[in-house]
Amino acid sequence: MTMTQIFPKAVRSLEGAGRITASVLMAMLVVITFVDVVGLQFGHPIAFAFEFTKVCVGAMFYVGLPLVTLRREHICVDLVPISPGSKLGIGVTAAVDLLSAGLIALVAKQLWAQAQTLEMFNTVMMFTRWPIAPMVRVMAVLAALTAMICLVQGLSRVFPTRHPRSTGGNT
Amino acid sequence: MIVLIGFICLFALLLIRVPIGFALGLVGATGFGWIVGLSPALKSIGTVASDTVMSYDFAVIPMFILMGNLIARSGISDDLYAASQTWFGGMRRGLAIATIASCGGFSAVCGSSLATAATMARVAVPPMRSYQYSDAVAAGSVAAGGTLGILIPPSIALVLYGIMTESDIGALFAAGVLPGLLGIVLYMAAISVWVRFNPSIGPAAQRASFADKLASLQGIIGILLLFTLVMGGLYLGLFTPTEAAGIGSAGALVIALARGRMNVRKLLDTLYDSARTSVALLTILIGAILFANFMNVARLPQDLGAWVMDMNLSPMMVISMIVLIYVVLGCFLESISMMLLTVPIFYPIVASLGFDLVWFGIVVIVVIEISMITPPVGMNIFVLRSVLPDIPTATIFRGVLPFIAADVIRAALLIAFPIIALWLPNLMH
Amino acid sequence: QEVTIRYSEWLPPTYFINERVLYPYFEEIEKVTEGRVVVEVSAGPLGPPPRNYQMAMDGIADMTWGVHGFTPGTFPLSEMVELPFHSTDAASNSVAYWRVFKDILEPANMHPGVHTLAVHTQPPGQMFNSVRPIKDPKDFVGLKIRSTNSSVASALENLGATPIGIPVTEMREALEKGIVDGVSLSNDAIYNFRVSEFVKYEMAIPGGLYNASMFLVMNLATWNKISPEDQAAISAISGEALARKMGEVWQAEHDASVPKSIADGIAISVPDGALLDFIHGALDPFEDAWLAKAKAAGIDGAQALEAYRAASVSDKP
Ligand code: NA
Ligand code: NA
Repeated sequence: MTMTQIFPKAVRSLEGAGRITASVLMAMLVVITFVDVVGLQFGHPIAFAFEFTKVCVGAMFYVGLPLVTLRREHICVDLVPISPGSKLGIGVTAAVDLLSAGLIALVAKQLWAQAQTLEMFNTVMMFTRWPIAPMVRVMAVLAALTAMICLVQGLSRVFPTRHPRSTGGNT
Repeated sequence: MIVLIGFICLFALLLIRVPIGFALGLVGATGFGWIVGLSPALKSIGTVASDTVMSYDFAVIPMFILMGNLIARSGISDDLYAASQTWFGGMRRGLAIATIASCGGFSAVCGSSLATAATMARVAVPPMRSYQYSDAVAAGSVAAGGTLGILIPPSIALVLYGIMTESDIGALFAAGVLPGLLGIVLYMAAISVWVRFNPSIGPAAQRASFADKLASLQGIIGILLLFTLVMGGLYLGLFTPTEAAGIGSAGALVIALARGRMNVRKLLDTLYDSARTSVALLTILIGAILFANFMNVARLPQDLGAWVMDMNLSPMMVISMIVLIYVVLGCFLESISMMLLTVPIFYPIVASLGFDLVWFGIVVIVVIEISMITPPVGMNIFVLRSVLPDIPTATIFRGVLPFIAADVIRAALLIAFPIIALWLPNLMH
Repeated sequence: QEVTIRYSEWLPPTYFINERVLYPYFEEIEKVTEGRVVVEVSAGPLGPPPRNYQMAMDGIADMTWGVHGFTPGTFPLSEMVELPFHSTDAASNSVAYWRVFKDILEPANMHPGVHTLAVHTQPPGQMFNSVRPIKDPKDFVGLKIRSTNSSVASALENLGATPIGIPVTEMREALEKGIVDGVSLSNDAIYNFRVSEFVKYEMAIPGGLYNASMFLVMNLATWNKISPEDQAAISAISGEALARKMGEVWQAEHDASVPKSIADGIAISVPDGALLDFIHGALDPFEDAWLAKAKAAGIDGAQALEAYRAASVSDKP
């Protein structure tokens, strides 16, 4: 049982919004670079294109992180065959999910702390002068969401029956 | 000792299928905390998790991934496959050889091995699979061919090496050309030998007439134009390698639109697919950097350097020892982190023995190329896993074995005959 | 040994500041504390260069050397020494900077959360280009110049040039291929970053187009682990003495590279007359902007500037 089966509607609309955001950010990467290079030929480059690029990549990563986690698209080493349906398989996967949840929750907490440090120092980007703290704060929130996804995935493996039934029930 | 425990824990976590980035990050941060203290370790998680994804050096990866995806979705890859089949397909192993050649060509415009592998995985693997090449050959040739990205100039890794060792970056770029070509030849040889022993893995197609061969080129005019745009723009100085990725993506989109293969829905899918792949790779990079910081404070590089010096070896033995250390470390460390950690330790040793630092730079790059395809942490393998999730890791590792052998031969040749690297730069002066 | 200090290395070991200032200083620390305090240099950087200050504050490294300007907005008071026209000699500037730092800037909380071993400056930064000598205000127009940071970018913009932000790793290639026409650097840096062969003209503004502010700081907890006697011994070789040494070595590196530039065919022009008036008109407003920042930070900027400039001149060898 996965997240998508537990909260189908909410998850689907959130996922759709996330996908579009990540796609738009990806497109912006290309548009910025393209306009910059073409502009340069005519003497009007986007002066600090590379800083926009950095912001886009950072945002795309943290918008994409919950989605990739939700669909279990992180890269793993699958050298040892563990049957996913077996008791061992379920136990190991649940343990990995819960471990991941704890780890990402910690990352979220530390990102928040980092945002506070950056805010205290008023750190801004070199050329655009955009403050960095709010960006890192958004990263922290999205990391926290990712941790919750891992937690629910892990719990739904340990207690498969305690959650509402998958399809049709809550539409 | 703590380093050994770290490696064992990493292995254990990877075996129970903890995502690679999480495993590297967990062991890295824990080891760092053990040595430096809990509070700094926690703080470093926050800084690394935000700094890494806001780094311009890594911004090139998503754009090149997107360019590869657009090329693949435009249907050009089908035409490329058709053309390659007509030109090389008559030979056994022909498409695999064409793959290596395209990887080499792409490396001449792209400074990153990850991006080269990501792009070529999209372009070259589907045609090979549709032509009944074994997954091992298809994935192996792209994973290995992709490593050429940091050897054939331009190269992000060579720029970093040049800055770290105060070597002439122009000379380093020149020095990378012949070893890169040698790499292409040896990879092709590896495929030939492999197919000789096991013909079924890379079947031959019908031989095509010369007229057919010319006609087949029509279908790849788009990709030829794109390559000309990207390469020409780079060499004429219209843009930097990073900007080339953006231009290449825009060009690939134009081609896809021109061929009528793109609509809004498909474009969104392609964009999201590229974002997804980038997220998976950047997650591993964050973990890899935390792990490298652990190795750094554990003083592993210095200990290894001291150990090499203590053994009182002949200069040649020292070089061989260093190469061996790189191969072993390369199993665990991400390539750029490994360079930043080890080069400052080893290059003074190497220089004091009277070796040429430009040559050593090329040796380092060649062994780092090996690290990208060796288990358990082989970034190019992960790129393939992420672009082609249905090919199992074990198959890819099996597929890269012959190429690792070719790499070892290349490293040996380069050490025995430094002139391979130094001939071109010497010519310049 | 009682305290080991982990220094996060981020430049090549052969970089002249490492070889001629920092490493000897680390040995000196060991010597004056009779081996009780040892500095251990890391194999590679523990974080990106803009994180250097924060790494020392957080204890990720115990000691770091870095550039204030890498984190714009964070150290507005440090921008005092970045202003154009007032670089005299890196040693005098650095000593003056250290004194003003101790008297005025540090009490205004410019360096929270760390123990400061030194602050210092470098020789003046200038504008180099490969297209034409700057003889007239209109010569700036259309030149694409890679700028070191945002202050330099706005300076170049005020002069009429087009500032371009390109990462340092791509700087050489951008120059080689003509993506940019020039760079803003100091004379020594065009050699240390290996771009000398791609520039032909230097506009050497008297007192510099810009300067940079740098720090050497230590984690507070680590500093407090050191006994008071050893702290005193380290302080004696740090602060003003270290700032002077930094400035002297850097100025010597700069002075040695000027004749080298001339021998390499780089034409150095010193603006005067109407051109210099134009440059002053374009860049003098930066001083008022800094005075406002100083006021916001609660100090009398004019007084600090005066003290800095007086000491920079009186101490000049
Ligand atoms: Na390349
Ligand atoms: Na590896």
